[in-house]
Amino acid sequence: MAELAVRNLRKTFDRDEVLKGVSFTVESGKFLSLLGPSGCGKSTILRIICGLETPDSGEVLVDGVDVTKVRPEKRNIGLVFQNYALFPSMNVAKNVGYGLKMQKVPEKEINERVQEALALVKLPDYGSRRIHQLSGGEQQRIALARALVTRPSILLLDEPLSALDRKVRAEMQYEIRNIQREIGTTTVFVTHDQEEALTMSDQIILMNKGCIEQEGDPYAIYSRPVSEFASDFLGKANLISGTLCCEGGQWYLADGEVRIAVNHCGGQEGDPVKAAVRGEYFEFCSPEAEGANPFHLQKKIFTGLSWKLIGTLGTQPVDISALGISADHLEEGAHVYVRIRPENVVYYNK
Amino acid sequence: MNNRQKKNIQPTALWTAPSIVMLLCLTVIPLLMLLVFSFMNHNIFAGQPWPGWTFDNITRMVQSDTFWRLLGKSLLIAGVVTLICILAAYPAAWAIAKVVKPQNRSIFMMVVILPFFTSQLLLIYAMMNLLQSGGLLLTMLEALGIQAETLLYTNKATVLVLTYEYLPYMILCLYSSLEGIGDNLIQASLTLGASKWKTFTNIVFPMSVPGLLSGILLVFVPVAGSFMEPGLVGGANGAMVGSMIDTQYSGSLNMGYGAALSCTLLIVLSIIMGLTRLATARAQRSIGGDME
Repeated sequence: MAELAVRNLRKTFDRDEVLKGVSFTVESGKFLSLLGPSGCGKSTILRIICGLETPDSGEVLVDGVDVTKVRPEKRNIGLVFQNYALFPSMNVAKNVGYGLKMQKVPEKEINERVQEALALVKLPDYGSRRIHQLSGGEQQRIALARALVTRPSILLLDEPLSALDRKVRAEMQYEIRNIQREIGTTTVFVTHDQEEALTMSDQIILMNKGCIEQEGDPYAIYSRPVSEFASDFLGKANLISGTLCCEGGQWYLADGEVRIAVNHCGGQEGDPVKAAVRGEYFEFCSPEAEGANPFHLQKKIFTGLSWKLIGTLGTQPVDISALGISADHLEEGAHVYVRIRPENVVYYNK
Repeated sequence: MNNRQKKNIQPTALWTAPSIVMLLCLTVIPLLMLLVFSFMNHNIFAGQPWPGWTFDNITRMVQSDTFWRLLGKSLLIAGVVTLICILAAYPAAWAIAKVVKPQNRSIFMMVVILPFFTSQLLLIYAMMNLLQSGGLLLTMLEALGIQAETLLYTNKATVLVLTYEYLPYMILCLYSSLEGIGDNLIQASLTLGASKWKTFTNIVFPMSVPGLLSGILLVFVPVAGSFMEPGLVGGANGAMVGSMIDTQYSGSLNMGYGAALSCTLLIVLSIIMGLTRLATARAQRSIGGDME
């Protein structure tokens, strides 16, 4: 267990600035996700933390000690790769025990700890198997066991689940989180999958083009995105443009017949703004209800858990996501009314 | 079901037939002929009468001091050449596979393959030219004030020329193995606390063994049987077992004896290659579990 901090990391590859001064801290025992589209620099941060890459400037601190210039093999930071990187020339037990062998741990203790690690990832009898006999999910568990067996101060996971199919991935999300809680290793998880980040993390850092876009716990990041990028990347929010106005102490975003109540957070009356509203925050209501806005349903798509209702709010396109019972009766072409609570709307100056 | 089986089986047999016939004609039958000739006297193709079967060739070979001495020397030279090739080829193959940018790899591969574009004989003559007294190498050394004698017409020259000729095979074999080792395996090893050397011995080396073995096969076997190089650059004491076999065919026209010597060389080389395979498999097991 250790606290991890990175300070002002900068890195340029071939004149392409991938990190533009990134700083953050992960408290001891916490699970941080670095979330962002591919090419945003999240994997580079991971590689800098474990020493496979050297930053142009900035530093990596583990428990306050600067390790930026320490060689990777001296850092004791566990890394799990996207494609597992298990050694094909060794069986499962030798793979898991490799780190301990490098630390010159006595053979007997290696065997015990390998058994423990295999039990931890729920593959206790797999020691003598060959790597190519394992499924993707099993390989990932073994890779996790191999990274954890040396009791690293920090565990880094580089998109470890992206090669797995949906069901196994969901299982592994749960599993990794459980194991992490059990042993309490400070963990940094890199992913481009927002759902993965939301379900697994204590803390999420959303990255875009080498900068931190937003930082916070999953709920805060999802419900209060600070920028257009954040609202669009996490859960695909609807962006509604309009002008800011105030009536009797209540602020609104107005665009033609559409009026959406918002909580004021800067800006003056008449400012052009964009509001982000998540599809699931719309609720159906009667035309007379307070805050009712006209919605014209154009297309209805069944996604399993919910209906995706594509249509227009006033003149602007929006996607509403509604649970089966509330949208079953709606037909394409219907005109209905919807409202949004002000606390579920965030707006940005254009 | 039946129809489908027929469909599957017939073309397979048909498609493989040409290569099987080729293999029979060019490999199996000549080897059998070699074996049969070993038990014949004289040269049956030189118009001599049918001599009948004989063990003379075998007894003569077993008693021949020269043959065993030359065989030993050939194996020693082959071993030395193979070893030098391995030591020189690992860094070169590593550089091409891992250090050079992927888009530049073909250029470096071209450089390695370039010697194959001219005849072996020319390569040897080029080396002779370089090494001879008054040649480029000695002239340059002289200009630097270093007095040296020419290597030419010694066993060292044979080793040098053979290494030069066979190094590309080793580089190509190792390259194909090293290239297949993912960078992330090496990085994984580093993050698990292994130094670069440990990573080489524990991860890279075991994974390059298949390439290494084919490299050894492609270098050791032809070098052990070579006769042109010792003849041209080896000088008076340069003969190898290949030279002796060559003499039986081209000089003393004793085909039967030559065949016996060839068969023995073949068997000895097969045994050595088998042992090498076993030894590496064992080394692999002791390093990192089981491979293959």
